[in-house]
Amino acid sequence: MKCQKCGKYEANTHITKIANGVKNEIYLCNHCAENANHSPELESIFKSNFDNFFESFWKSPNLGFIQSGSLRVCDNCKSTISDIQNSGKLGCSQCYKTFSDLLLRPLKDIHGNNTHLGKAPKRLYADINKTNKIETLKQELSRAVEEQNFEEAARLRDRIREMEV
Amino acid sequence: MWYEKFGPMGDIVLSSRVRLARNIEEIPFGTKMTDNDRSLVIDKCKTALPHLKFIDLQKMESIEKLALSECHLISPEIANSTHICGLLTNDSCNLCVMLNEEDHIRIQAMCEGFDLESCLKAANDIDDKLEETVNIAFDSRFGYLTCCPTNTGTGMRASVMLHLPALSESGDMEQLIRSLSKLGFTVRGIYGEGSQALGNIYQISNQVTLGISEEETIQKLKQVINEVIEKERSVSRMTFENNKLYLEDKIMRAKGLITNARIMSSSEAMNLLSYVRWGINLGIINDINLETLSEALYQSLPANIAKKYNSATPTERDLKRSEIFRRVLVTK
Repeated sequence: MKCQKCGKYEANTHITKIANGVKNEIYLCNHCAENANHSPELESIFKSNFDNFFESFWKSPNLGFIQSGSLRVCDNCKSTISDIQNSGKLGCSQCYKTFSDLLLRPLKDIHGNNTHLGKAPKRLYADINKTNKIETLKQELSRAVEEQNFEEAARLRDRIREMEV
Repeated sequence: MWYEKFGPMGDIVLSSRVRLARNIEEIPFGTKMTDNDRSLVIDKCKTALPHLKFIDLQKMESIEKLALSECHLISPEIANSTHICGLLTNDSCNLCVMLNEEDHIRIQAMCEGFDLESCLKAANDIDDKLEETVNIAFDSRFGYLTCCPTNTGTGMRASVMLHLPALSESGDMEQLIRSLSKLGFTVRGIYGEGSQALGNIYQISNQVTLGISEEETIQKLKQVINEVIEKERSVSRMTFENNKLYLEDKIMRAKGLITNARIMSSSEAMNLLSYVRWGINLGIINDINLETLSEALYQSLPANIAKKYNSATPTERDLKRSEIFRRVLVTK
């Protein structure tokens, strides 16, 4: 088995860290193992797992997934993915674009979903605002039907039709 | 103030609130902000919302800020902030826009009792007004972009503050907290994250902000809260029927202490006020009403006493606190 950090040499050291009942294992070569305690990258992976909110945010991080993003820097605010992991916060609105592929999984872990439904700014996103509004009304309609509130259901149906024209 | 009033379901629900987190597209978020950026946020929002009164929180005495946060008008985070930050508010203070909190803009609409819809409407109105002149950070996939990914999407946190003495006494709270968290709701003590449930007062709020609309979130939360209210009422009735004398004794002792004691700590007061409130709801206490009780509660909070009476030490405050209760609860 190759070292999970450098990927170059044979792994001969097995590190297990257990904190808050969460077990994290990593296989390293001699060289990487020696530096393990000084490597900010490795620390941040462990830190993200145990120390803060990111414990649940980046569930069972796989090294390749984090590493592929670790060279990326947000053009606008210069945040890196490890900045975000460590602080639990994004640096600017642009970060959501820069790291969008890396955010999909953690967002799903937190919210059970990673696509917005609901309000959108009217001036700049009129289309989305309308589509999401119709989607919301449809949810309300199915609830009204479920509750056998047919008067409300009819009113919602008419509003949906009106908006879809 | 509005938060001392009796609203819908006021026997159990103290207040409702809806908070919307918003950021300005071209300005970096909290951790990356400069003082210039912070001033810019304040300028843009003041211009966009000229009908609200601006309060510069950096210039405000810290005890005054803590007093505001005790009454839940601003968050403890912004009360303790050393950065440039501010507040836009209306005359009745049930609408508070915090500037440079964790996000650039945090719109809070609040009301007495249980009425999340009107809170959402009031918050949305402010949001619409802001958005006319300010470019709000938004993404078609992720929704409203926030500093912390736990708020991304609608950026909305709807919460209800409830007084649940019967469920606390019966030991049902733990079970309730567990099952609510499985459903995506958070239960906290009266003072937010990590705080104890002082005086059996709990806040229940939504956790999920992505993939579910504002209206749907509120409907779900309402459903849950209605069930909690129902359960509290039935356990309260049962406790009263099964242990009438025991409960009456506890409640009347609490009333006796709170209206006669000479030194009263904040946590003891919260505990006694909870029994008195319960006693009023059960009809055991008839000479104090719920609004008077809320008035006494808010007046007796540590920073509010310190601010009003300039009392510096906890002992001074404990003396003042007992005076407040004797004045407010006895003479009326």
